[in-house]
Amino acid sequence: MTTTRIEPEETIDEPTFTSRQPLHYVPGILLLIGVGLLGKYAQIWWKALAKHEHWTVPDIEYVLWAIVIGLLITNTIGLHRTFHPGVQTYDFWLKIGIVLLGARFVLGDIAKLGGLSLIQILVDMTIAGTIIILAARAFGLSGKLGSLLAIGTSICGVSAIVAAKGAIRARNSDVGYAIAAILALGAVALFVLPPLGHAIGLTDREFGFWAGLAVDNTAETTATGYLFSDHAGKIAVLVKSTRNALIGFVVLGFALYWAARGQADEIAPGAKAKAAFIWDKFPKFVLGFLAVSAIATAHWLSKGQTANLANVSKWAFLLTFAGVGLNTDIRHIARTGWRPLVVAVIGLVVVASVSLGIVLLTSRVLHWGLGG
Amino acid sequence: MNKDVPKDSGATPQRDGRLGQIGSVSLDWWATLLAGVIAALAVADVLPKIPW
Repeated sequence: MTTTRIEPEETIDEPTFTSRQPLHYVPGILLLIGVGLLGKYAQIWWKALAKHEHWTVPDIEYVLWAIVIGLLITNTIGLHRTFHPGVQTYDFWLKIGIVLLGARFVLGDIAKLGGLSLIQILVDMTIAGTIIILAARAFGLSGKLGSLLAIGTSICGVSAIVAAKGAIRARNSDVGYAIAAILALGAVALFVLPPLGHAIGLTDREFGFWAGLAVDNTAETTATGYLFSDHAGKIAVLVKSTRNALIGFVVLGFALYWAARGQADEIAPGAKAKAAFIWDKFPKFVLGFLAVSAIATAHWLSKGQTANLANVSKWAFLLTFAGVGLNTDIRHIARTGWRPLVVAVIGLVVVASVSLGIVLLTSRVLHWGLGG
Repeated sequence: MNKDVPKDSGATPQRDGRLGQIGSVSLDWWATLLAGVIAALAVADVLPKIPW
């Protein structure tokens, strides 16, 4: 048995920067911009058309347009390989958007909302994680695939699965299954949660908390929140960032569990090594988000420049939403097989129900200030 | 997914070393750095008006 060292290649190998040639990114990034702009203007055109024709139709948000246009391209004509490197940068734009969104929060709000969400996350994670591990066992999935699904569903989707891959020595096939299942769930949540939230009559803040707690992948969480409303999107990003910040602790827990069974590398003894492990997995862009929020809290930004940063953040999110659609290949997800998907669907239903219960309990029974 | 990525051409060992150093910085830090530059421009009040 060996002791885990923090190796650079083990930390991040999500498919964001897949080429060393800057020019390879240009076609895909231009496609992200094109699809994003088309989504943005489709909302305006749809509204104008409905008004002109006197139709009574719901206002379809740019978020949905961008995702649907991207989905249609990938799943009909397909995405030519020239576009792949640029299109896969959508996670990069997401993180830039999150950091700049810090300008719209003062640190006091982050501490309050982050603290509230932390309690909810811990309860949600414990209940949902346990149910997913039991469901995985019942459907005959490997223990490590069950762990990956629990990590992905309870924390941070793909990033958490990738972070856990090396630490629990999971097989590549299990990692592929878990990632496909989490992405499939994200796509489902995107289309199901916003109408459900409206039907239940959730406030923007309640829905933001629900999306932040229930949707697994940060890009899909952001899109789900913004599909409900701008304010819900902001709250969803904050809650999800709190969830992301816990990656290191959860992965460490699973790594210790599997190491104790001799099926993963041992973590070096001592608090210092464990702290280094947690820091290694910590999503550093959360620090950027806090730094920008500190700048806004210190009033170093004029009103106009705060609005400017919020707009840059929205443009970055627009590229992310286009990327979510363009990167969702339904055929690829279908090839995953039904069993991991069934466990993942159980996971989504459990996480969505438990987190909705927690949000309603804390908001409407305990009055923790989520209703506004 | 990586199988579809265009292959590198014309890479030299020196260039590879530089790219290796750049590549060792994680995506999170790159995103934070770029967003930090944009935020710094806003603090200096030189970020042009960005419409939405």
